[in-house]
Amino acid sequence: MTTAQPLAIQDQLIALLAERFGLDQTTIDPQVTFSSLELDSLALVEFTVTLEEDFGVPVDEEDVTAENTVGELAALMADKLTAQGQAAG
Amino acid sequence: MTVGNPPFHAAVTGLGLVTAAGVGTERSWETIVAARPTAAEIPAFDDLPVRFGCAATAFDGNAALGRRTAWSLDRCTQLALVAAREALAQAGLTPEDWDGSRVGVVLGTALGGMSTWDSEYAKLAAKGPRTVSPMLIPMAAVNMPAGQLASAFGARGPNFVTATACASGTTAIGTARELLRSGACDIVITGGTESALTRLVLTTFAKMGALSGRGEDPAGASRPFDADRDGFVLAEGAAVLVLERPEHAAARGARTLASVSGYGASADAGHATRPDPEGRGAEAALRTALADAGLSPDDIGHVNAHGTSTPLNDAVESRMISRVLGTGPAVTSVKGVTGHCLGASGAIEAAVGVLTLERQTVPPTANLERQDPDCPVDVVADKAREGRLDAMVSHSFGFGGQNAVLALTRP
Repeated sequence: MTTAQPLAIQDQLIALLAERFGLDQTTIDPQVTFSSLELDSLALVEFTVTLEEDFGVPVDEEDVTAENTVGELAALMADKLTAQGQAAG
Repeated sequence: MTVGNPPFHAAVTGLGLVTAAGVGTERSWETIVAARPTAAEIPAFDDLPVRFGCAATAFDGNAALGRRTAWSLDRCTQLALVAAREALAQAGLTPEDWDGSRVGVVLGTALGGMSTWDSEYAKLAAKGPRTVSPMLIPMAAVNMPAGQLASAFGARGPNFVTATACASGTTAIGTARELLRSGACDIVITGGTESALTRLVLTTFAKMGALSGRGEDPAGASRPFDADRDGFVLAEGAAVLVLERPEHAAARGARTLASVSGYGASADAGHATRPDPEGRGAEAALRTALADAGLSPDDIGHVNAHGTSTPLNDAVESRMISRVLGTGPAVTSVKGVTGHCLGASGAIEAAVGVLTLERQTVPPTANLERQDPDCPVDVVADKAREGRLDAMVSHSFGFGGQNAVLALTRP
């Protein structure tokens, strides 16, 4: 069984946000919401596509909303990866 | 074009260029005036019928604009935005200085965000709908370069894109001038942009037989008016001109680099891709532009030709030039250097025309080794020609039989 690590995933998300949207990594806090990062709804849908590609698990539009924090998304992604690991294992 | 009215000299107060010849007006001009061809092999094309083009390889949208801005813009918009920044800086204009409701944006593009269309469709076909970006339409729709420039600069006046294929940039500048003449705007940010160096676009132009097949010698492939020309070289680039009502430019003490003094447009109303054999539509556009500017054929010292390097265009255009203007004007096609930037080409060539008048230097046509006797005009070859020049025309002829001509004058 694989248990994904939320903290490592959080760092990965922050790096992805910087790489994909040009956000300043140092300003992205786990408690910050996507709306306060000034990512609009289309950018968030774009981010779901990026997440699916990078993590290899399905990510739906309702998984990444303006009110979500980066930390919450990291926890959700960890759950998805763990579930996928269990299904595979 | 309102022929018969007093000539209206729209003032060009700023220029921006991003081409395969260089990022920035000066770099592009240096390469053009030195007649250094920019065509080169493109690795992504290595299995296609034609494996080369003129890419603006020195342009990196992320570096130029920052990823925060660049990520949501197709490359054609990135090129236009960088060119516009340069043009506004030269004009000495910032959004804080103007009433945005009096500032228009009119850009020409033939294909809009083609690279985004192409790459997103490839994702859909290869990996299915979940991989398709929601940003496809806002990035790739043909109007977006103009819309994004408005957002970037707070230009809240009339805003649109003109699409007349390879004449789009020229149509844009002529139309921008009309917005100034009518009083709708004080300033129009105008020009053209194209970034369609995609596998799909390259392949279909190759299958049309429109492209040069000189794969063993890409640098020599774009050779307007040369007897051995065999097609155009696909290119990307953008040019932006800041155009102002002459009173507006004068009131703020801006320097006028050159004036857009006449515009003519017409349709061949014939074949979709083949020019009228006698260039009658092109001739009508040229004659209208001259009349609009209050110029006679004898006044024209220089033609910045459409000169695509296709066998048909260059011969038809040359015969038309000699018929209307005689053999006096010095004729140049910068496409020998830049390749053919489709909807941006007319804007790039108008910008080069402005520099030609400002610097009193007519750039040469690259790769002219043996002039085609079927092109009976005075083609400037080998090196730039200096001398007094007061008025010139810039030609653009698009698929669809759409023709547009600008008359440019020294202020």
